[in-house]
Amino acid sequence: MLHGPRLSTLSVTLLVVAALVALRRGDERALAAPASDTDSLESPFAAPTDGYHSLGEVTLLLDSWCQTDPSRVTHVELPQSASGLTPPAVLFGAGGVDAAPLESRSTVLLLGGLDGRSLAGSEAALRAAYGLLVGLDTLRTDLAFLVVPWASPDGLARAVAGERHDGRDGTACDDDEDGASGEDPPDDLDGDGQVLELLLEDSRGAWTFSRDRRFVVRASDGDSPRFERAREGRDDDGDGRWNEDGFGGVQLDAHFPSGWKGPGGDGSAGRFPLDDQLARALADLALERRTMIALVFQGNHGGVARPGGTLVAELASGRDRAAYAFLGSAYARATGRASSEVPALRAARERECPGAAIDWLHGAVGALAAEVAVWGPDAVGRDGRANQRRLTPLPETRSGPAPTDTQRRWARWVDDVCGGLDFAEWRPVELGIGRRAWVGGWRNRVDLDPPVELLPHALNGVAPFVREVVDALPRLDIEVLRLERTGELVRLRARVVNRGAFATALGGAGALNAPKGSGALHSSGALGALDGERARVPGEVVFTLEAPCDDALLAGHAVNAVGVLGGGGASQDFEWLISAPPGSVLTLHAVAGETGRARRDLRP
Amino acid sequence: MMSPLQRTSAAAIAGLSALVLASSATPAGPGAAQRPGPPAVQQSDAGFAAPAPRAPAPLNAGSASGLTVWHTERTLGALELVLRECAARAPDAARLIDIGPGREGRRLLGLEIGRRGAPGVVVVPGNVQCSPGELAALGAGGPHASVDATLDLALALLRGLEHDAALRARLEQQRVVLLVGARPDLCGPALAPLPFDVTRNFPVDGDLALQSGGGPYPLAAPGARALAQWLDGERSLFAALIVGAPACAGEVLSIGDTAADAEEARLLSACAARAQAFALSPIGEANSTATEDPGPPAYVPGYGSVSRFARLRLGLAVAAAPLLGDARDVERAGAALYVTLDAEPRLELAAVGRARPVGPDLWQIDLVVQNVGGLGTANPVHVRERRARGVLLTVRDAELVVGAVGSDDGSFEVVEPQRVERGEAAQPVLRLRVGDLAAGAQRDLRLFVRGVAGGALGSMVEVDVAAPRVGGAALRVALAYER
Repeated sequence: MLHGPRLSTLSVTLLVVAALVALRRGDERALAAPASDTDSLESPFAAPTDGYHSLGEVTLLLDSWCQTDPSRVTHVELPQSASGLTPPAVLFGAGGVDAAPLESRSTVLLLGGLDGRSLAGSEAALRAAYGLLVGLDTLRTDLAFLVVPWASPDGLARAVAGERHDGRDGTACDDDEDGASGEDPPDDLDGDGQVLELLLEDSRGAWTFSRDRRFVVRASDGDSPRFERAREGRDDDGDGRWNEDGFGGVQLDAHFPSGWKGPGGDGSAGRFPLDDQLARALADLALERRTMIALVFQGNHGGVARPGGTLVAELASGRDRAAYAFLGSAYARATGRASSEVPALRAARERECPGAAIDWLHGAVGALAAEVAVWGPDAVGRDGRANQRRLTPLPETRSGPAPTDTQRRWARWVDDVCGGLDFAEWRPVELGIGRRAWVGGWRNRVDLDPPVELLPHALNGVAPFVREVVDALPRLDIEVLRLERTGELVRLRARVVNRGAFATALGGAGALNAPKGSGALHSSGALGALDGERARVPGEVVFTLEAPCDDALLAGHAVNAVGVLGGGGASQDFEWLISAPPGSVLTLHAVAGETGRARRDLRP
Repeated sequence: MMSPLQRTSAAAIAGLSALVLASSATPAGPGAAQRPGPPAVQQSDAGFAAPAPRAPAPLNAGSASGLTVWHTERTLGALELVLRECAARAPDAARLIDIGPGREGRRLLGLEIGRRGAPGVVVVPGNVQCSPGELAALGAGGPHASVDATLDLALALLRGLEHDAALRARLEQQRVVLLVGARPDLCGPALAPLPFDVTRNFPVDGDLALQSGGGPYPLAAPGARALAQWLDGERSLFAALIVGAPACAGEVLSIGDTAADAEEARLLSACAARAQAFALSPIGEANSTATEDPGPPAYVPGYGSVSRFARLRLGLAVAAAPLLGDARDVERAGAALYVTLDAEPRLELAAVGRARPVGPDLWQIDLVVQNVGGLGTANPVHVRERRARGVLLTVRDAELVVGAVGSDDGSFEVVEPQRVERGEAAQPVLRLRVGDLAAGAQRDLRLFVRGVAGGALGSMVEVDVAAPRVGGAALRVALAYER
């Protein structure tokens, strides 16, 4: 492990750096790009090229998909971002002209880089979409797929330019409420061409150096020195606060009305929740398109996180623990990563995250929503696979609090793969007002997105993961167990089965937005006309027999509330006696709110 | 037979002067509350002599036609016609305002009376926060009863402007914005209701609002969005008056935790007392017998309602005026409006002597800033949640080197000035954050400035104080060689 304070002479420093550069180059050569998950499949759709893509490139690629198969892949118009960028979006699904319109189907929503920082997340959404398009003919015809790879274009455009920032959009924002916007942005204090992090010495500060001096941790009593943290820069407006009013803008992933807190603090949560028209359009789409599952590709924790930016959302998503466990294990299987745990969002990010999109998508829309981070400290090790090497023991010679587990995992990655070059050791700077500070931290955004040569490794397994999740969605089927005719008397016994791996109730059943009861259950007058009828609780299955006329049903109920059907083949049987002349048609319907439906016509 | 609207309109016109007089009425007891006429007080709080009541002139033909159409058809077009006629009636003082688009592009309309941009009160018809079931309980006018009462109030103010010098003087310094058409979805042909309660769709209370039926996300209803954005942008409005809130028929109610907000409780008590004077029967009878001084009954409106949004998010003081469906609704609302206008938080600045030199090109200026209004400069909820922005003091024509703010023990505490860039060409402005001031509170200030333009004896330094939603003040202090 490389520690700046240990290097006593310039020559030693140069030797070590040269060795690390060589080691890193060697690693790069050793890390041959893995075969893409979709390389072996033929497809008329253009595949995303390797590397990161700009907004223009993504737009062109999605255009080409729409032109390749305009009947099954269509554009979705989204409003411009605050800076005037238009994020491209496509909607696609299997089925021919006789299939239900894409707009009316239950929808799988794939968002990339909603946090405005995670370019790898955008690439993951793109790869996942392409993986689905490659197998378009094999997808379920009752599903549509809505993909927005660049969900927060303002922030992502800055990330493409190499800027290390907090992902906020171009909305003018007076963060410090002093009547001016953007008057105290970060600056490159030491002229190294990068804006890193600034630690301001402050005896009442909340942070201190950990035992691994590269990382700062929350200070406890007796810890010193203590710091306040800020972006590198001067106090341009002389208000005693450092770089508190820079680019400004709204962080779209803190802008959703689930535990939303604003506009206090720095204004990144927005004036009102969903005040940004792009975020509002995404929310409206999620509502209108009957979103069953929403995967938001972003973050740098390297795994799947369930809703839980706040405690309330965490408790709510706990009701879907089984479904999230499935997501976690599917992701681990597809990517080869060791951990299949699915922590709540605030645990994954190690901070409270009010206003997170997945919390709202789960709680209000009723979708099974999750954040999928393709990048993280364990995503890629020396051999290009997920890093499963044991953590380096902490140095006993140093005092101070231990770094967090995540910091230790990042330290391992810094030491193993990047050779320490992407981490600037903390060095003191003089701010000119008698106040000491330190500048250092991550360089080149490598903790936010993988270096381009590691991107294919980080994306490995994303497409199979999404396909497995899609295939696991609840799927209703109707089995006829017995169908006998005696004169005009028909005896029918049928079974409704959920052949998906997920239960028919997903996403906490949309607890905040559950539709009201139809009141028609078990009513003989409710024969037929199932369209528009909804179960009392989303995901609760209703099994209905449509007979030739109202008085044809001699035994059994026309409408049967089945309840929620679990995954993995859970079923329930029903039996009827019907008076039906030869040649008449009996129709069975099974409907599970937004999560699935099945129909079977019988001619006994 | 006169319609309820016509009856209340006539009463409004007749009662405007009484309404002005009533603003100074002594809080009346239960016995006085049963007195049908206006209180016999001839002096207003503002100190001006109230004119003798006189018979109102009839409405002009245009206004009458607009009112008739509105009353019979209840269409948005008719409401707009009425508001246009109102604006035309006092073109120098009244303006039709467009708050923004509601559903299907229906515009939310209001009427602003008074000085443009001045501190003021926004009057919100109760139907903006009435759930469908509550609308019917608003009085004989049904869903439009509170609109009619707000409209009557607007007409009364316009009539008053024609003959009441005191009212004119007041509205040259303040303004009243009456959001008469803030629920255009209720105007015929009524739109199919959204699948959620649009009156619980304001961005306050978080998940609780959504769970109580407020929709998939705050401001999902275009009308609520337009209204919230407009309210948020109107930084000089300091209070909202809800005319005919659903649960306050016959009562003047506080919004939320009154105990945490003594100033607001006083305001509401005053509103209640003034409104009581116009009651045909005791208002809030159930409460009047409970204790000797029960104060305004606490009322917690539904989560996500506009009144909670105004109070908790924007920091406006919120009062509610009763609506009993009788001829004196407008007088009660007017009384509450006057009390609310009187409560405007208002800063005053005074110099303690003249600026004196304390070194080469360095001057000491001692000042006192006081909030002479009836409300604090910040809503206690905002103070508690650290969202209050405090009073800001700015020095012009000189550079503020450092400042000090007096504390309760007579000592001064150093406060660093903040520099605010005003464009590339403009000089930076240095401001001092003084903190919030409760009603009647004052604070000593000590400023040290240099680079006074002119720099000679008798040169002037301009100092101004301001706070969000508070009337500011400016002061010019002369330099002197006094020690």
